[in-house]
Amino acid sequence: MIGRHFSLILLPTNKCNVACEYCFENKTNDFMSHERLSIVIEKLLDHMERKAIASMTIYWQGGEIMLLPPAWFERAHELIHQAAAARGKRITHSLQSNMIGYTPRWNTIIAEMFGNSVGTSMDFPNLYRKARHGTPAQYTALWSRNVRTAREAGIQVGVIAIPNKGTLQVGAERFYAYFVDELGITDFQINTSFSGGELNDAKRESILDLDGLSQFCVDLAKVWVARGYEQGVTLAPFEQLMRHFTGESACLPCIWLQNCTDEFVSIDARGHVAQCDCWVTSYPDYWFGNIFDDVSFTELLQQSRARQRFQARPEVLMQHESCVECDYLSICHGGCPVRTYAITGDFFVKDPYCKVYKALFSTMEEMAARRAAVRYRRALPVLQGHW
Amino acid sequence: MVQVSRMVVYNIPVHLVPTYRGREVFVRSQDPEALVQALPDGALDKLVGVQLLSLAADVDTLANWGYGVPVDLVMLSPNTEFPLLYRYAKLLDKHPVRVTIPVLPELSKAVKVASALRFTVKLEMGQPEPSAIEDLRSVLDFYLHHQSVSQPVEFFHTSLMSLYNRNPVTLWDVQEEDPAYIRYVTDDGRETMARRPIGVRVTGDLGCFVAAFQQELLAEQGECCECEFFAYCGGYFKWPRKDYSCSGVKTLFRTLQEASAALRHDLDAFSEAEKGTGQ
Repeated sequence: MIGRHFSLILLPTNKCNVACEYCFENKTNDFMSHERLSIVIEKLLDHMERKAIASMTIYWQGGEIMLLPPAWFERAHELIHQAAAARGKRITHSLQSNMIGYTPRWNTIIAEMFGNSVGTSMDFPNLYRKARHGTPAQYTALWSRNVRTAREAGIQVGVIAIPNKGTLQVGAERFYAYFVDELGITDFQINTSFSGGELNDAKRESILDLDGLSQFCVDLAKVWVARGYEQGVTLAPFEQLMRHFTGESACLPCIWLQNCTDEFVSIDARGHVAQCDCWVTSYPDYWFGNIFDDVSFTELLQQSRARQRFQARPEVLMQHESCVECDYLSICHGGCPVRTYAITGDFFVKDPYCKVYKALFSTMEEMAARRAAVRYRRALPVLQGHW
Repeated sequence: MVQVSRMVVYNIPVHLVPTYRGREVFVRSQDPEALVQALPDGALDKLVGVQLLSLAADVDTLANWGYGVPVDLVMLSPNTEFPLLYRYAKLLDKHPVRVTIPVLPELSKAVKVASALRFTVKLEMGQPEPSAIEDLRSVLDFYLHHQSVSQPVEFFHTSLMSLYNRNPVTLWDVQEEDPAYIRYVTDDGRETMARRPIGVRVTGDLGCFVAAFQQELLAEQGECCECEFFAYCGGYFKWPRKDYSCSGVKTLFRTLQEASAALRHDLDAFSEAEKGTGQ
């Protein structure tokens, strides 16, 4: 984490207001006070100065982030802004919520702090997301109502969806129609499930047959290209892959970064530091340390043996896996450590979704080539860049 | 390729930084910390780049220093060192990074990983053995046709462009080996050529070395005399052994020539199509 920008996934509360069966987080009742938040921010700013990092994005998550009141965020925004300005650094914010606790009282802070945008999650069909003592259908109804209210207030709502066994049954066309045609969502992404934390039946069955999931992804890509691409619907990671394969600059998702340790960390409400939200909430053995310990954040990262394992992972994959032979090495690098570890129990093997990724990559590459050919926009990559 | 001015650039060991102050230098060391200490941030105006001679070093030091200074990572053993390139990916945020890869078995893995990490690549050609030509052909094919390549692989890149533009640039320049412009300074302070084959000692005026050598080659009426690629090679592959057979490396040039013709054809067709659609 020594580039010009880095990202922090901050969990100021470990508490949640729902009980999704496949959630990987071990929830607690902890939350971060403003005093503790100030310590976190000052330590991060020290680190940014030492490493000549100009800017940072904080991704606010939980637990459920909206269990902290809007007034808490107003104060947090102010103190972070003041601290960053005093050091000549830039900090921006992004919000991820389940939207179950959303009310219009949030609108002002969402506009002022989060660029009038919020990310949330929903599956179709919804099998595992539910409130305590409630059903998935009740959850979906409440979520849909709140999302509609937020959108009517002008808030841009992005949705992350995890395909499940029901998704594969209904198929890509119906899945796409639900989000785009029924809900009016124009910015959504699909993600793959991983059974982080303690195993249960829902987590077990959330890991889908790879052939079925591959076919679903390929079908969804085709539906999106036919109906959404260049028509105002952003579907990640398809959109980014299309950009990549048509030679445009693309920001691919974190699961395919060359090494996520170079890009971000996560800190939870108790100050535990780990690679991302799943590691910090599910796997104490992989914590890098605690930010409230009497050590700088820079030293904490440098001294962490757990972090050294993350740093070493791509090297080990290049030596022992088939990744170096793969046509898509440059956009995958062996895939996501947490998916790998949660599903296989092994850290130093390639992502078990390799087959799905390859199916998606080759489909997007083909479709990009077809579109490029149609437009006579074929240019050799050698025309780009000079050392 | 380093954008050298026509000043002489000296590739010096880090301990000679004080001796060469005021001259354009490319500074090499096994140890990044030594580079940072010898080249404080305020004293980089004549620095063309740094060369790291060991991939096992701690790279964080360089990541926090000298914003924009080109870094050249020198591989010794591509078949074992290629995974180590991942350690250096984070440098790209602050430095242009090039990997110099010797033409040895399994170099294609190193080229592939370097390209995947968006490093530029310079192949250390010398006089490749006939057994290495197949590997080089495979790397050339990868460079020309693989979707993941977004950065130059030298010498292929500059030669392709010079063939395309019909503006010859010799390999002495592409490979940064013309001693008129790039001098290698040995650890004991002796100025010589960048390529230093064992048992070969260069004497005479380094500033005229390439021109004199080319005259010699042409006067001897050897393979270079008839070679269609001489203007793009400059006799590079005939040094130090003049009896080196160029049949293998000519196939590389031929592929580059065909690719440049294909590129010209495609771009002409594209221009015509754009005119046709009024764009």
